[in-house]
Amino acid sequence: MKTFDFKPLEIKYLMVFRISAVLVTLLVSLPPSVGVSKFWDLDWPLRVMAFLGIWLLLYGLSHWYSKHWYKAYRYKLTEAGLKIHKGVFWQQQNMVPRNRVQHIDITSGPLERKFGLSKLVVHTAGTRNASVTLPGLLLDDATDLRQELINTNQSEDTV
Amino acid sequence: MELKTKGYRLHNISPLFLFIEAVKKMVLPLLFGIVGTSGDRQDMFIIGIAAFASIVTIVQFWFYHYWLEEDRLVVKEGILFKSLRQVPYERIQNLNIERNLLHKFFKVGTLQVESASGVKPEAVIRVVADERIKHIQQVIKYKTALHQEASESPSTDTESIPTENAAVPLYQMSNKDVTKFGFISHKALVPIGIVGSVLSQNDYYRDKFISFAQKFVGDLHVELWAFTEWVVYGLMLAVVMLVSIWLSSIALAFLKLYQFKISRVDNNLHAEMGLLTKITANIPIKRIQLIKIKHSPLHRYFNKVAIKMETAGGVTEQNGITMRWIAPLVSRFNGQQLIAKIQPEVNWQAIEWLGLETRAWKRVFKRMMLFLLVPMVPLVYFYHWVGLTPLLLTPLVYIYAKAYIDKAGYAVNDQIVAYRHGVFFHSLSIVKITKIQNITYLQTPFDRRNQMARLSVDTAGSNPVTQDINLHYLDVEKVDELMLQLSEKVSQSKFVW
Repeated sequence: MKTFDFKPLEIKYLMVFRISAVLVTLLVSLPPSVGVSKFWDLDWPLRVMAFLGIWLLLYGLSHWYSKHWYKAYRYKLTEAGLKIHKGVFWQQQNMVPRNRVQHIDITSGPLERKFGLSKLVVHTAGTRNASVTLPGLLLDDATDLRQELINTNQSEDTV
Repeated sequence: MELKTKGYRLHNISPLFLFIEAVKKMVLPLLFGIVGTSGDRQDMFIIGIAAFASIVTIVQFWFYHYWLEEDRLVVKEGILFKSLRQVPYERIQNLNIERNLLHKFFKVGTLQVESASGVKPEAVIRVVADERIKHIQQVIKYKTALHQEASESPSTDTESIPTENAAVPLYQMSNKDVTKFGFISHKALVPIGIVGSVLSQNDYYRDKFISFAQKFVGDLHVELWAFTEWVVYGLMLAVVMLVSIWLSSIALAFLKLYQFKISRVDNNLHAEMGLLTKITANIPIKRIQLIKIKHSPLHRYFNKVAIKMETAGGVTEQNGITMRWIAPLVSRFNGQQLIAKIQPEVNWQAIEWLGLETRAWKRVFKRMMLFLLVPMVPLVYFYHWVGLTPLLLTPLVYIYAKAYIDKAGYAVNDQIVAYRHGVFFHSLSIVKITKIQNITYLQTPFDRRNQMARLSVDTAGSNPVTQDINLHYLDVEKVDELMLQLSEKVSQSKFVW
């Protein structure tokens, strides 16, 4: 049975996080800048400035957040199962016992693929936390982890 | 896939039932059409869609087949979008049967098969002759037993109670119990409240209602009322409302729970209930995921509790027949006996309750005060000093906060995890370690400030809203320890559906 102590996500995933943050904040900044422009009846150059200002502010916040988010995200594999720590303000720990794993998906979005990363989704028969997601893994690591979780499970499962 | 046995179709009478069901589905659009204010062509459009949908439902009858194969139940349905569903017998969680008056008249019933797949029932076989239902039940029971014998260790067999005992129900409700249950439940409160608010808000209906009432009590001359008359009539109306809520709640309880009876047949719970529509449910005991004991102030007044269970087939009331009761109303002592009989493998004496952190009352107090203070802001703004009156409730909030921490508690041992909480509406939930799917630890910023954390466990078919096992207001070190301990125990125990 393979085990390892706490590991961080691949550092490349921080880039993925930040690139998507750029895109999301670009969209999110639109409504408030329209509102600001309307409210103070701004001219075009000022409107663009307002948009850029709001966008910079929002992105700055998410940049800062992403740093701490990445630092907080750790996972380890014990004999009992997979344990994931995450969250900056609301800190969460998920524990999936090996023998409760139902099936495991590996997915990767276009951006993740670009960086050679993939996401592991571990499903249990639960309801609220039926699936636990672990992003930012190298494809090989994800496959290894999946194999390890499934292998140990098979020997015990009699359902 | 090759099907080895001859398939069955629905009973010949089923178009009638399907038609009635379709009409039921049409009632809502029709109501919109008639009561709705517009009265335009769009209403006809809605009615047209409903009519078309109902015709489709009826035609489905000719396309519905089912098979009782060697190891599985197969259901084929659909006209354009055909579906072929195969449910292995051993994966069937619950088997529920529903019979209303019309069903009884034609000696047929609706059969619902649940597996652990989620919200929707695996298969609903709508109109099946009584003898056929019995046959299906027997086949499924026989095949499941065969499967269990083949795969399970003999240790589980010693737990089973011999079949001779099966005839004696574990628990049944007398009419008196059902009446009390209806009174406690106040089920009719919401519908009557909705009707009442519609009556009072809509001028047209209100006038109609007043003139209707005046037919019985004579002209009221509302416009001439003095303050005392308002009080007297208001009180009278309140009493009438209360009594009608009680009576209709009791009537609803009788419809649903009349002659409620639960018994143990081999390793299954067998439940029967209902006045006009009779429901028969069959739940394998080992599939019970969580047991919950609840009581409200009214329950305590009658010295009773309600016991519910969760099974892995998470069918909700909107999607099919549900059976969540172990005992809708039972005395505390008998309730404990009942649970002990249903799960004799758990050592109920060994449960040792531990309290939450006593200092946590401050957090409950602060949270409750926030609920009090926020609505006070507009009150103070508009009424100045008078707006501060809610502050008089502060001592009550203090008492509540103390009581909350006092009454809440948790227990963890080698067999179970349990959590209890609630001051007025108290609930106690028990999950067996083997049924735990995963464990979550959460620390909010507020938790962190108080060096606390919370721990919740997830089970199959659990209620995502109530989150029954959520150990809260505990020291971080304790939660860390619990997390470790539980992970260890869960990973060492085998989960069987």
